[in-house]
Order: sequence, then C-alpha cells, then structure tokens
Amino acid sequence: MSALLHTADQLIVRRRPTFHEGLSPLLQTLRLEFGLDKVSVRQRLQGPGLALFLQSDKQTVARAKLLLEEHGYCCWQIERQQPTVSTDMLRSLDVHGDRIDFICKTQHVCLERGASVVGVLADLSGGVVDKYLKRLLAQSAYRGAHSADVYTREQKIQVILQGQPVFDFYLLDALGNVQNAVQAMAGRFDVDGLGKRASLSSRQNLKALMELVEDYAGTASIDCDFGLSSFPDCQVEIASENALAAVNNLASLSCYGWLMTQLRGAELMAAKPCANSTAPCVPENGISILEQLSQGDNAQPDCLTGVVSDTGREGVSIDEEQGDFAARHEAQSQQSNELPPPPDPPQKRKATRLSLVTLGGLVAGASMTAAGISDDLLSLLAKQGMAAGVIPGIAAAFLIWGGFHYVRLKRQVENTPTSKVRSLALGMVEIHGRARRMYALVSPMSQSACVWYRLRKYRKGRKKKWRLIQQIDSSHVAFRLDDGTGRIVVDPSGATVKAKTQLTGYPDQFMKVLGTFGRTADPEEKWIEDLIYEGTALYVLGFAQPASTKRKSLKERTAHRLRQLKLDHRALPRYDTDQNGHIDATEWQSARRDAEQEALREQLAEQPSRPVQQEGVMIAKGRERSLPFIITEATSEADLTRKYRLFSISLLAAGLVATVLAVFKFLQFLDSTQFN
Amino acid sequence: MITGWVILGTLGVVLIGLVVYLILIYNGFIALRNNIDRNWSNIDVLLKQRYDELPKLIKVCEGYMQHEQKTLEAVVKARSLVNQARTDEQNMQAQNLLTDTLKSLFMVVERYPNLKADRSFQQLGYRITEIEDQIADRRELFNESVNLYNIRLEQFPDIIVARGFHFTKRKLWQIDPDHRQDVKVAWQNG
Repeated sequence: MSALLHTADQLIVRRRPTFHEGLSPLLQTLRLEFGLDKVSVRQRLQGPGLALFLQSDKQTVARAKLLLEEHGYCCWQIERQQPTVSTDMLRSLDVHGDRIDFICKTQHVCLERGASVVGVLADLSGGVVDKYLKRLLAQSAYRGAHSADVYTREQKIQVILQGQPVFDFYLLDALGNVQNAVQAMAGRFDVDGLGKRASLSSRQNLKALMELVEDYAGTASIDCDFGLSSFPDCQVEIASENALAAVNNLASLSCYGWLMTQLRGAELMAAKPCANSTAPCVPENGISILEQLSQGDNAQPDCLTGVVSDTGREGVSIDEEQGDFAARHEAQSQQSNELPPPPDPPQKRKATRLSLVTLGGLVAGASMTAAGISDDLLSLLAKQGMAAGVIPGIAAAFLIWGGFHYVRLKRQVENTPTSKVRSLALGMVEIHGRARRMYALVSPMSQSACVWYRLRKYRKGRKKKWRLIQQIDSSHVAFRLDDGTGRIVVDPSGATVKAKTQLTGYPDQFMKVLGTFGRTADPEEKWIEDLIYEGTALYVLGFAQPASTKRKSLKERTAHRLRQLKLDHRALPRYDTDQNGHIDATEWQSARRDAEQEALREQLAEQPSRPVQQEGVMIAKGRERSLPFIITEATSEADLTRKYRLFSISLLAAGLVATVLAVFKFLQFLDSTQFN
Repeated sequence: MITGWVILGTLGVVLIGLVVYLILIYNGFIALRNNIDRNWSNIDVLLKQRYDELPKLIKVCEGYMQHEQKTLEAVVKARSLVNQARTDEQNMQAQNLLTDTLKSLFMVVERYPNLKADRSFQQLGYRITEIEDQIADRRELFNESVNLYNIRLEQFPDIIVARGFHFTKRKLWQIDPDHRQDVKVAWQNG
C-alpha cells in the first residue's frame, strides 16, 4: 500500500476561499465518479491556499484534474519528490545591474536578471494561521458562509512580517529544476546590499529583499500560504503551544518550498506545448499562474480561461456567477457594521502570592518527600485521620464555610435593588439586560457569535477517566449589557459566570467545519464548551466603576509615529541631511522632535466630546475580593436566589452530618487511646 | 457517655452556626441601611446637577419669554426653596415643587417656536430632561432599597436582630398628594 502511494501521482488544487454555486454539483459528480466523500472534498476545495486533493494512479488523477479544471479550479498533477536541494542561509548580498550575488553560509548563489524564481514568505511562529482563523470566524459570524477571502496578498504579507518571518527562494533553470535555494531571515543578513531599499526595520528589509528578488527574476512566484495550505507533511505548529514549533516549522517549510518548485516545474512543462499556441500559459509579464491566483481567485489567468471556455458553456456561466458573488460580497462587506476583532488574552503572570492552603500543601509535600514517606504511609495517615475524626472535621469546616458563602451570596442578591443603565451610579449594582457584543467574538468550537465562552479540554487518563488538561475562556473580552434604557460595558474578568448552554465536541468535529489545518481526530480528547450567546438575557451583579480612558498618551503617540517613520522609505531620506544614506543620532533626534510635535498637535486636536453617562462607567470586579461579581443566565432573580438557598441548605446539612461524624469519631478515638 | 458528648458537640456547632447566621443578618442590615443612604445621596448628586443647570436655562428663556415672567419666577422661587431646605422632608417637597415648575415651563415653551428652535435651549432642555429621567430612576432605586430594608425588618428571623439592635423603618420617597390627581386638559374650540 505504501509502495503504491510512493509511486502514485498527486493532484494539488488551489482552493477557493468562498462558496460558489457550482460547488454542490461538483461535489455530487466527484462522489458518483470517484466515490469521494462530500465533506472532505469540500474541505479540499474551499479554503485558503493549496490543498492535496487526490493521491492515486495517473489516469484517475488526470480524470479528476480535467473535471476540476472544467469547474474553474487550477490544478497540478505531480509525482511527489523529496527535496534534493537544501536551503542555504543568506549572510549578505551584492546587487549588480545584471545580477545579484547572494553570499550564503556555505556557498555563493547568483541570481541572473530574468531567471525563474519560486519563493515562499512564511511565518515560523504559526501566527498567520491563528490570525487567519480569528478573522475567518469573525467574518463567518457576520457575513455568513459566503464571505469573501479574509486576506488580500498584501495583508497576508503584513501579517507574516509581524510574526517570525522567513523568506525561502529557489532558483530554477529553464526546465524547472532547482539549482539553488536560499533562506533569508529577518535581521540575519547584512542589509547594506539593499542600498536605498534598506530601512531600520529588519522585517521591512526582508520584504525589500523579496521585492528585489521579484524585480530581478524574469518569472517569480512568491507564495504566502504556508500554514494555510493543507498538506499532510507541511503542517505548521503554533509557537505558543510548542517550544520546538519554529524548528519543526522550518522542516515543514522546506517540504512546502520544494512542493512549490514542483508545481512551478509542472507549469513550465505545461507551458511548452502552449508556447506555440496563441494562449501562452506563462504570461509575458513574468508572473506565474501560482502568483496570479494567489492575488485573488476571481482573476483567472488567460490560459485557464481558454481551457474553461473550450469546455463549453458551463465554464462561462461559472465565471459570470463568480463575478456576481464578488459584487455581492463587496456590497455586503460595505453594508455590514464590522465589530473589531477581540483583544488578545493578557500574558499569564506567575502568581507570586501563595495562599495558606497551597503553602501548607507544598510544605507538607516537600517534608514528606524529604522524609521518604511512601504511599502506604499516606494511606495509613488517611486511615488514622478518618479514625480520629480529623478528615470529617476538615470536610465539615469546608462544607459549612461553603454553606454560609451561599447564604451571604443569596442575601447580597436579594438586598441589591435593580438599577437602570441610564441612571447607573457607581458602587455595587445589579442589572438585568440583554448581552450585546463589543468585539467580533466567536466561540472556538461551535463558532457561534457569543459574548462569553469557556472551552475545557479533557483527555483520557490512566484509568480511562476524563482529565482536564486545558481551559481557555474569553474573560478578557468585554461585552455590553442593554436593558432598554442604555448600554453599559461589562468586563467579565474575575466574574463567576454561569452559562446555560453547554456543548460537547471533539477536535475533529471542529476541524471539519473550519477546514483542515493539519490536525487529526483524537478519540482520547473531548472538548466542553460553555457559552453565552449574543442577545441572551443576563443578570449581572457587580461593581460599577469609571471606565478606563482609552486615549493614547503623548509618549505612545510619539512612539507610534516613529514606528511609522521607520517603515516609510520616502519620508526617512528627508532627515538624512548629510545625504550619506544613514540616519545618525543627530538626524534621528530631529525626526523624534518632529514626531513629538505632530503627536502633540494630534492630541490637542482630539477634543473629547461630552460622553453619555453610561459610557464613562463599566461593571467589573470590585477592588475588594469579598465583593461578589456574578454574570448568570437567569430567568429571574428569584430563580437565582432559590438556587443559592438550595446550595446553602445542602451544604450546611452535609456540614452538620460531617460534624456529627467528626465529633463521634474523635470521641471514639479518645476513648480507644485512654483504654490503651 | 459518647452519645451525650456527640449531642453536646453537635449543639455547639449548631450554636456557632446560629451566631454566624445572626452576624450575617446584622451585617445585611448595615449594608441595606448604607445602601439607602448611598441611594439618597446619589439622587442629591443629580439634583445638584439640575440645580446648576437651571440658571443657564432661565437666562436663555428670558430673552424669548417676556410675557411669561410668572412661570420663570416660579422656577427661580422653587430653586431658592431647594437651597433653603433644612430637613429631608423640606428638601423633598422643594424638589417636587421644582420638578412641577419645570414641567410648566416646558409646557409654556410650546408657545415660543423661536425659543424651541434655539440651539442652547435645545441642549439645556435635553440635558435637564435627561437629568429628570435619571432622578426618576434613582428615586425608584431609592424606594426599592428602602422597601427591601423595611421588608427585612419585619421578616423572621431578621426581626429578632432588628428589634435587638433597634433598626427602625425608613420612609419612601413620596410625591405631593396633589400630584396624584389626573391632569386636566382643556381643549380650546376654534
């Protein structure tokens, strides 16, 4: 079987980011002719970048390729090979009129003007996948399944440059064979060779290098879909989840880059017979099909349009439909009132303040380890503790404490009158209202528009019991509460949130909906998602306090302007008074002064308008830890207090039983000790 | 012997529980009483805002309403009564009077289209109406907190603590009995 797969041909397809009406009949045909499952085929045809569509014998792959091309897809039939040329790290470069000399770690590579180049601009941190996903979810929630592509090529490049960018490029000969491969990392090469293109930003220098390579190459195809494309051996790991992600991603990148050269080779081979025809496959402007399609799926290359129009009227109708869709999406995007993406979660700081219980546990654990106390001794201690009534006593204390906690909570809820948002005063308040989103928050598993979610990941442990391994929530994302008289911001961080909706799912279920991002189903893992949908009626008991002002300080504004200046190739030479191509300290000081002046002007120009009362107030956790902060989906306050009463009575009753047991055991223990 | 000690121990724990419960009730009363005071003060904050806005409104109106001096004087007089009020009772009455005179003023303004079109008047009118709405909401909130407190005073077992620590009833915000009557609207013929 594996031998067959090694010799089999692969069909690579460039996916379309959006749904199109021709997709359903195509899925039906693929199911009937090739027996392919509709769901998985849909994943391979819809989404960002490229995807491995089929792996089979030459004839089957060729038939499938023809069918997909008839439906306007761009495909490549290749025999997959392992990389034979490895990338060499770029150290510096020397630019001449007719060529660029790349001085790499082990060799010198020369790019002649007009050569064929395949490049991949990638983010090793895997952040592009994460950001793409967030944007996709936000768009799906607002514009539905028919949303347009989430990123333009320029936006993709910007996102990649914000991460851990790397630019791999391969020099090809006329037959499409790889001659040399170079890898450039931001800040790892001497930028003097870039001349006027060089800037103070290492990431922008990498971009400048990419543009330089594009300028010199006769045919350049730069791909930015690493991570977004779906290939089994080119998966991207997210740096925040795995410390070795960057190393693994580099290996994936070399596989991906090699695949791109193969696709380019296939294009060149296909171009040969076309060369004599009237419709050349490789356009004269030097940008390949790969490149053209990555710039926008509605831009069909000439040769593809030819193929489509030759196949009959269906092809033409697909093009027209696509045009309609594009126009509709554009109109939709203009009409829709987009919410900003949710803010990133705050960096978790290690808790420096240890509670007494934790400290006691740590001390006990350390002393037991030091003393070499075994499991048997622990069980003996537990038995003795039970016999002496210590364990029931501790349990009773906790139960009674819990019971009184709920009594206090119940009385707090009952004693707080319901305020109206319009006339909200600072202090402890209680509000009933409907939840409204402030940000385009979408739950990670069910992709529902929500104001709050909590996702718990469970994994089967040793005894096949589910064990909580990770928990994420959206407590850092504020939302609004609308009670009919006004809207107020609620910051749910630190709140006790009770959501009624709870969904259970599995990792593969999530991936099936979103498209394949290189992960596989894991039956050992279970996800539980609690969420509060947008529009849900909520009860909030919290502390109303002045909302923090979001106005930027003068220092922040100046820093922002300086950052912008660093990226602006046209503005920077203005400060290069001695015309030596470098901005020295004095020149930079002058730039800083200008930036400060501009920032000051901007700040003065921003006259804060008188805010509506509730805009200056938010509900959040009070400064005192004892103050409750509750967000709950309750139909009425009475329901909530009834629940608290039930909890408190149950806990107090259990506490009483535990007390009786503890006293009884203790007296028995005393008795037996005296007898002995 | 053991049973006796068990009963005694359990009774001891129950007693401690009761004491803790009574402390919770006492603290609840204190919190409620302070909530009432806070809600009262929160109304005062808005009343002060309304008080400060009034001279501006009267100044704008004077230019247009030469024939409505009585109405304007009534507003000014009501405002001064608020200033002179010494007790909560007097203050409440003065505030009610001021609310009424303001209502009359806004009714009279209907006869002056030029004044209604004045931008300053529109802004002040909007501001004062907004404050009036907020005052009404906060009075409701005040009354709700007083009501919660008064209910607790009469409930068992809270009544034991209330009697023991001399917690007394609080008064609700009440309007002038005259204002409970229906508004008479006279339609002019022709």
